[in-house]
Amino acid sequence: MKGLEEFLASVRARYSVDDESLLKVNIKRFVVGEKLRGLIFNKLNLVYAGKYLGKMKKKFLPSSILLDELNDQEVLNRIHTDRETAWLFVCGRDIFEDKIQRLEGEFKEGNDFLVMHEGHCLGYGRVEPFEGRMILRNVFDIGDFLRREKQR
Amino acid sequence: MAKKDLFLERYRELGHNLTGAERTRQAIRVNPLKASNEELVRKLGRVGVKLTRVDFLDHGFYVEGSRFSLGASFEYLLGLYSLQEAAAQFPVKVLGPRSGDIVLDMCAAPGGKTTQIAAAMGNGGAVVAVDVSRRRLYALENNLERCGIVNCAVYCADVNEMDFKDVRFDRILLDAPCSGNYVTDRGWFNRRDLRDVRSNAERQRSLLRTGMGLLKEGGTLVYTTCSLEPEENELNAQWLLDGSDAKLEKIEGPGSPALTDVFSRELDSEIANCRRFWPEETGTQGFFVAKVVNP
Repeated sequence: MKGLEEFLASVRARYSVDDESLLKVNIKRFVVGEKLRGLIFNKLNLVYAGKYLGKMKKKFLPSSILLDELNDQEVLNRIHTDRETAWLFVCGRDIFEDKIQRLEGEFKEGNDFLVMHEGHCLGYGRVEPFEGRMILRNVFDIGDFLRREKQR
Repeated sequence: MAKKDLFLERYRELGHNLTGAERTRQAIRVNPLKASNEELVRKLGRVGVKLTRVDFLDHGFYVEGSRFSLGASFEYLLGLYSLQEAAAQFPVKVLGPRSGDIVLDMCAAPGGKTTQIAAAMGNGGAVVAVDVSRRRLYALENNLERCGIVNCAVYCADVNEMDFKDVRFDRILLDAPCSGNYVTDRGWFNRRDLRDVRSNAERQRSLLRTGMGLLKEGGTLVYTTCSLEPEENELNAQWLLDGSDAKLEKIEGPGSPALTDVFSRELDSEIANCRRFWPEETGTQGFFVAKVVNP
């Protein structure tokens, strides 16, 4: 799955999905195990199934479930933050380099990083230049769960 | 007679002196897929939230005080817990889903009980969740992702019309659309009348009929509503007993045995195996739970 592979490479993660387990429901992508595959009665009314990997828009947007799973990997682009920075990130804000407590990976333009607080993944961002320095631009954060509810 | 008085008079006839002002306490349910009870108590304790255990639940806690909305904390967004009223957590405990089961959640949105079922199964087995409302299913999808659930297939359909091929389920939860109750809905008395109750009862019977047809031999169906009205509860259970070989298994736990004398109509003594939560007795919202076994 091309978009997923691009995202994985951008955070130096590994994850494989075999074609048989991959399920597309509109723009959403899922991994469906054998037991659940026997319960896909029709795809017309199906809205969600199994492990939600993310959405395929222009780029692949990973789900919090996938980010959580990647977080188990040793080699990964990650930044660790304090509670205040983490909370601002969850509210949709970007992260300045000087607010990073610990960095795993190379903080250079175009690289993606998972944002961590106390071992939990809060989302991810992309390194971009901003007013002469580098910031981590928020791409997805778990505050999205609340924003989605408000949009409905 | 004002609608409030009419309903309160009905409850009096059923042996319960309710005031119409009873309220429930805020409660949460820990998601064992992501945190232990102790871990969550510690984490929320650090930010000033005091929790006390709900004695009849494995992962339920009352919230004794919080300076912020518990629906917008780190821990909530990370899926470590869900907001769920205490009585509403009981039906899934009665259902007792196990890893390896195939479970149907018939009226699943917004997914509080679906995530509870999936978590109780340790993300094993499979859960089919169905709801007719696409809008409410967005909330369910959100909850599944937030709570890290990976064993559910979700359909937007009228469960009565849906083709399940030849699949039959080990366990079914029918958390039926109902009239609700005034404890969690302050405008309830102004919006409800007995016509709603009767029309809901009819819809519930049709869902019960569908559910029983989808249950494996020896399987368990839990029928539950958050209505206090016997037409949606005991009388539907009686309707089921009258028209099938189903048995009602005894439910132990909080609340009281369901009614066997409803407005001078005597019901089968087996109905007392079901459980009722009366707000003034349990300090929760009203609830009815029946555990139906397909012999």
